[in-house]
Amino acid sequence: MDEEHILKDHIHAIQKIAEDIGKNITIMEICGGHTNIILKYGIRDILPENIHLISGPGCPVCVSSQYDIDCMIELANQHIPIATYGDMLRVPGSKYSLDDIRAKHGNVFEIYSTTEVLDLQKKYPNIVFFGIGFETTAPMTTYLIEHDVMVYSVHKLVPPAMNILLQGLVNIDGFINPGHVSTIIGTHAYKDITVPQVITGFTAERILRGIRILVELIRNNENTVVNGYPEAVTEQGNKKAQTLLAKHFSIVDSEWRGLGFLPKSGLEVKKDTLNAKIKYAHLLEKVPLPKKTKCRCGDILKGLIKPEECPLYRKVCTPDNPQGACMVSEEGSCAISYRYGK
Amino acid sequence: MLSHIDMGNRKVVKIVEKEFIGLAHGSGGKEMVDLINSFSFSHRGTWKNVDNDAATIDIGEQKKLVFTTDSFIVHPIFFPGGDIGHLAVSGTINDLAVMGAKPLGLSLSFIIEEGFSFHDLQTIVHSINLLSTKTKIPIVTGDTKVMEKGKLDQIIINTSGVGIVSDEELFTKELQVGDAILLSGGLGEHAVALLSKRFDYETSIITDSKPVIDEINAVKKYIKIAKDPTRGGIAATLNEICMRNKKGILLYDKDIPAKQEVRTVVEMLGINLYELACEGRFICFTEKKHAKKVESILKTFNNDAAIIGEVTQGNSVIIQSILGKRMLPNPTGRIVPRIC
Amino acid sequence: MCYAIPAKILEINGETAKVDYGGVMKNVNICLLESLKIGDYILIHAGFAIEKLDKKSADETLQLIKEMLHLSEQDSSNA
Repeated sequence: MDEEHILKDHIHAIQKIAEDIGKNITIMEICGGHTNIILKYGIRDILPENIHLISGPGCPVCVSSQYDIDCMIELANQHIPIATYGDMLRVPGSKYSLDDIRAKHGNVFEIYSTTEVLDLQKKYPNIVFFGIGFETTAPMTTYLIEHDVMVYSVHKLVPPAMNILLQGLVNIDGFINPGHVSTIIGTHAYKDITVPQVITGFTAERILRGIRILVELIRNNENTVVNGYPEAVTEQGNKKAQTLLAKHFSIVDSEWRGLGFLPKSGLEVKKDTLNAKIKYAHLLEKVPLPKKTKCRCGDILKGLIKPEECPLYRKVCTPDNPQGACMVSEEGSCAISYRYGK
Repeated sequence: MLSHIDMGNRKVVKIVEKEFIGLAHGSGGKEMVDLINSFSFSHRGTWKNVDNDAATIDIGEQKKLVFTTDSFIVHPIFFPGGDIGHLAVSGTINDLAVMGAKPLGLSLSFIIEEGFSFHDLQTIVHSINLLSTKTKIPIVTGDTKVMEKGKLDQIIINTSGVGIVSDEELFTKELQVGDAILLSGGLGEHAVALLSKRFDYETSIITDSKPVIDEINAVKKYIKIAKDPTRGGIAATLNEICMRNKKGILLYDKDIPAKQEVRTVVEMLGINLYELACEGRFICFTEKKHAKKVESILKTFNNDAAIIGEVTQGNSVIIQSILGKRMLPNPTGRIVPRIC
Repeated sequence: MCYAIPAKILEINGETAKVDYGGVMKNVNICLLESLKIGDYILIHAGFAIEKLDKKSADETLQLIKEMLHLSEQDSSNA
């Protein structure tokens, strides 16, 4: 079968299963990469009316709290050299973004891989790495901790967030689990989540196939995790990466933008001397708590509303004047919606 | 964010909420366009096409003088398949060529950092000389400045160009719904060649930087509009054309050419193929009935040349893929590899 | 981006491996994996290898899924 036929086959099968189910069901995806492909190919638009596919908090930049972002910006503003992934640079803090500080002082460095931070460390021994991302990226930060680089960690864990979302205002009937987080944590990490789940890869076909499997599980009331990405994901996951995470991070309560403090959902650097929050506490205690704005990123991340339903979307909040992280981050739901013409 | 200030009989666009210029203002996307629009120079004389690749002025006998300028800050200055000198000359020749003009001469200005290698400068000058000789487009005037060490990153080159075009041949003809859009070769090769040093990968891809004047001349009589998709790629270029011509564009995703290695790098770095700069490619619009002929002529220069879409009603760029249609917006910010 | 793409190991030098993405070669860090050999396919994210790709067991699982989907289609059409 060529690609078009395979896709049509999936769509046809999904329609049949949706008819069998009859009532409305909601499935949530929680991976920035999946969000992008779903919107890029308009997958939401071709699903049957009673299947609601919503985007959850799968973009690590979007879920980093405004307060943490303000703290990193303050460190940069105090001329401390900062390195982070490119996504983070344009996120607006309460006053500036890291990009603005870079333009002002020049001490903010964009990296593609944490290995580059070691080169920067030679020139800037006091460099701080702003560690954002879920379980996929946190192991790359342990590499820096092993090399005595100071870290400000806002790394977060996906399964605890999934559990909280299940208790939230939206009834979630199933999840499309993140692809590469699953590579690290393994399928067994999701066993306590009591709805059907599927792990998929990153093509339109894989995602449609995953949705087909998921709606089938929902129809049959099978609360299980199907691994639709077996070439990259195993039951146990990457044990070495997990060991490094346990060695260098403690699991702590963590603030997720729009979701509040979620218990045991974040990673904190164990070694005090390499924890920027401790080393620079005297600077950070001056950072005020952010003011409330009309930005509804939080509700978007919970899947309560779509970007189009935020009063600021497109009217005030656009990619060149972003009001919140969901618009600034290229993986943010609002940025992706905007890019694809919603 | 922009706001309009009414100053009597002219509107001035003021950029608010920004204290300083950022890299995005030079990246070829929306921020740069907004910045340039905000300059609002009030005295233009009788020049036209001042927001186009080259400006034009009537010089009688149904001819126009065509004038363009560009500055080159590419890094690294030597990259696979080319250097900043070759790029500077090609770029300005192309800005004239995509207006339909015959280039008459170029200016060449160097701003050089103290301590810059003499040998490197000779290499760059040699590239420029070779290209000028090959294309028979002379370098007729210029300037050289040197700045103290540390005040400049190696070298900046500015080239300006002057050309001539008849009113009939000027590539600013009106677009009609149904007109075909063609691309003269694969996307993204210049960007991928450049990024290989920054992101430390090896590839056989070399820059596509070259003058496109021969190709354009071969299909000149069929061209309504042409543009070279440099900074911001075809995303920026096509959105600009939509805006200027108040038409929409439909692209056929599967027909847009790009070499496999380019697609691999795009995946690897998490960047957008349609926002990648090309320096030796052009997009052209022709009547539908000429599309196949133009495509076959362009294929004699580069086998990847292809019909990639058509003009529609509307005011945005839409891409048609297997599953449906989606918008291709104007790029914002700069190329940023993404993380999970 | 969640994007991670597969590459084949060409050389191993300590914690670095030179990999081939299909014509594009790059050095990546392999400290997150063990027992890698030249010729292995690995999945790379932000310059680090995060998993060795096990083609054989992947093919088996994908075949099972295919069969499951074929069966479920029969189910639906019989309903």
